[in-house]
Amino acid sequence: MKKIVFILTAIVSIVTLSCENESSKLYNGEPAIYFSNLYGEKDSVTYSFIGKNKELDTVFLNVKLLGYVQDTPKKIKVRLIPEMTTAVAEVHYTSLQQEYEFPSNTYEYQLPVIINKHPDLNDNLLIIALELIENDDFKIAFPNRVRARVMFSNIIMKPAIWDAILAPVFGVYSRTKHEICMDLTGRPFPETTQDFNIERNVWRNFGWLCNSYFADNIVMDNDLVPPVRILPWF
Amino acid sequence: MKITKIISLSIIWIILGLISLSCVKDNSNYDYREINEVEIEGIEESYSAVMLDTFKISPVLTRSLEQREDDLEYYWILYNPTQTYNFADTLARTRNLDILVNTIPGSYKITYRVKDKTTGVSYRKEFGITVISELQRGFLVLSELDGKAEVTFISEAGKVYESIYKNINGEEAGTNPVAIRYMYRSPFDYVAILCDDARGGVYLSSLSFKKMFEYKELFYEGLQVIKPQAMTSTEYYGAVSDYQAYGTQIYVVNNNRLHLKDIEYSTSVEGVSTKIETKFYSEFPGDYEISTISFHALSHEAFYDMKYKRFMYISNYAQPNLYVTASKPDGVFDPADVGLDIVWGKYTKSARNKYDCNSIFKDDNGNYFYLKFDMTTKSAINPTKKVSIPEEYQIRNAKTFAGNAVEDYIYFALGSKVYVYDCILNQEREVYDFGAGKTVDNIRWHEAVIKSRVMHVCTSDASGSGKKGSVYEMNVANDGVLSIKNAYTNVCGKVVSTHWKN
Repeated sequence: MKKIVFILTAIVSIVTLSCENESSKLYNGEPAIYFSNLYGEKDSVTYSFIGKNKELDTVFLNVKLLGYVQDTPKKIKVRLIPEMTTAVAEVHYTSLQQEYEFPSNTYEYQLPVIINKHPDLNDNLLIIALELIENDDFKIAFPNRVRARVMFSNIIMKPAIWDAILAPVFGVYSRTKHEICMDLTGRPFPETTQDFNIERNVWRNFGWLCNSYFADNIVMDNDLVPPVRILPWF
Repeated sequence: MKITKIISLSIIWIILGLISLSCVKDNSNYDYREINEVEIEGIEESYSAVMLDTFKISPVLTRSLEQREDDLEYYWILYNPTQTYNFADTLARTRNLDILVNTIPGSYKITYRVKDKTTGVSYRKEFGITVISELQRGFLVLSELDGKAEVTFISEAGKVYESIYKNINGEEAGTNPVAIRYMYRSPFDYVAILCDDARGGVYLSSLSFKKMFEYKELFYEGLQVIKPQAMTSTEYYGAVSDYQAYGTQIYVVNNNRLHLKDIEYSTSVEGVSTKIETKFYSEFPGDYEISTISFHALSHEAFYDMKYKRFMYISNYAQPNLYVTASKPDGVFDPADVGLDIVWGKYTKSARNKYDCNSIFKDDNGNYFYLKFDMTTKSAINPTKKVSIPEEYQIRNAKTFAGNAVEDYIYFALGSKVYVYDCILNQEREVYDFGAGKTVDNIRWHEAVIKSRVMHVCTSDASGSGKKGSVYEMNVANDGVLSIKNAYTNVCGKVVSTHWKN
């Protein structure tokens, strides 16, 4: 038994001594980039031209730097992924550049993807898929965070948060109500709970105003057969 | 083989295995160099500062390798330790702190952060600070002076700040002053000045008196008609602080239409809990003309519709529904069809969990009535008393009233005199006379410490020009008789509105 204790003590001492406390040092690895808001299955951003009153718009993809900020602007290399892309370059979007410039003295860059409001979007959801490529300036930080999909359309779609978040403010969903409320408020509905919460009372006020509109005006929901009047919900 | 030997060999092999596994070769391309660290000295553990006064700190910075400061940047960040660190305020981004203190009085923590721009490494020093102010608690007075809104503040210590809005902001608050209200809901803290002019008035920071917003900026939707008439908030008479003007729900009456500003809320913004300030909703829809007189207690409020002469209430603050309170045809009066014009009213002395209100009404024939009701259930206001006020009573001609939560009296003023109306006995009597040439323009029970039995009485003198308005802090005896405690003479114009600020 004494032998066991002796051997264990020796091993623990060796292990402890091998864990030397290192004083504070400066990271000096090579700079690398990744899409900071996208990872794993969440590799896409969505966009609808509905309610935007724009013929083209820019979707920004947030690219983040791992490592130190750079003294001079550096190049980011980007590649289109044809097999995952359904949109047509110069028709539905402005062709991607091969390289974009990551500014100096910052950890973040908004990579622009310019999309066009094309009639094809009235019936389809189109996709632009792209990925970051390693070059002389930047390594790839995380292999599962280099791809991004921009999904865009010009179709009214029921916001995913309607039933849980928007229904208490705007009542039961209807496509006709959706369109009229967007006309009245001058803006599209929020697509995430966070977007709603940041302006919760602004949306409530919009809900009050829209409710008054449907109280004062007889509006039929023509998506239903036979059409039914959209009633105020408060 | 002995069992102990087997155990010992097993343990040795397991440990050796773990050690070898833990020694994985690091193939990364990192290399390391020493950094020029920063040591912060010359900052005390705690400080005291006076609001609207200068405050300076000059720290001593020592570097470990090379004494230089051109590669550093600085942050002086103030936190409220009673809340989370999310509500930070950057006081300065300079090496030394040299600021005019405009932080709300209270105890705070300040973090001095020095960041090495080359390495991105930050160094911190945290210390305490207590901010005090003479502008924190006191009496707000809004008066009309040469047609313009004049703001006077009398601090709790008795120091008078005349023309405080104009002196701090370098402009007039407006013309035709209507009302001044203190609205508190941490961390948002305003004073509202309402004026019946094109601008409508302004909102000030409660503690610096600096203008924050225009009247119309605190609405989600633009107003078609700018005509502010009254602003009210939930009132609460509690055990800790006798009176609190809660900012949970705030109401404004604009052009006889009611608007609600609901309580602020917190939400996560990019992972950080953030307080979101709210604004006034659009007017409640419906066929009504809301009176400037309304009744407020904690979560209990009643409004009066002048058009149909009935009480109304809000059931759900998130919905645009202004309801008529339940009809009670067999009551001493029917709250859903009072049939009278409201003159004045206020939440008053109530038994536990009851919300009694005193009020004065009149009919089309010039008859006046005292009405008492209980708004414990605001959807079914309970009428408890209706008494005809005798023709010879002065209260019929009164222009300013005051009530409180400790007694069933209504104080009112007419000419140079202050009177009290006993709601139980239906009697009135004079309690003070300021004498010929003086007019009592405004009276208000001192709500901050309600049991101290102090009333503010504001008078004006018709003779001469300039500031002929005075504010008297008066002791109120148990029988209602007044005596002057402190007098602040010729400090304002003709007073139109007052409020206590906590």
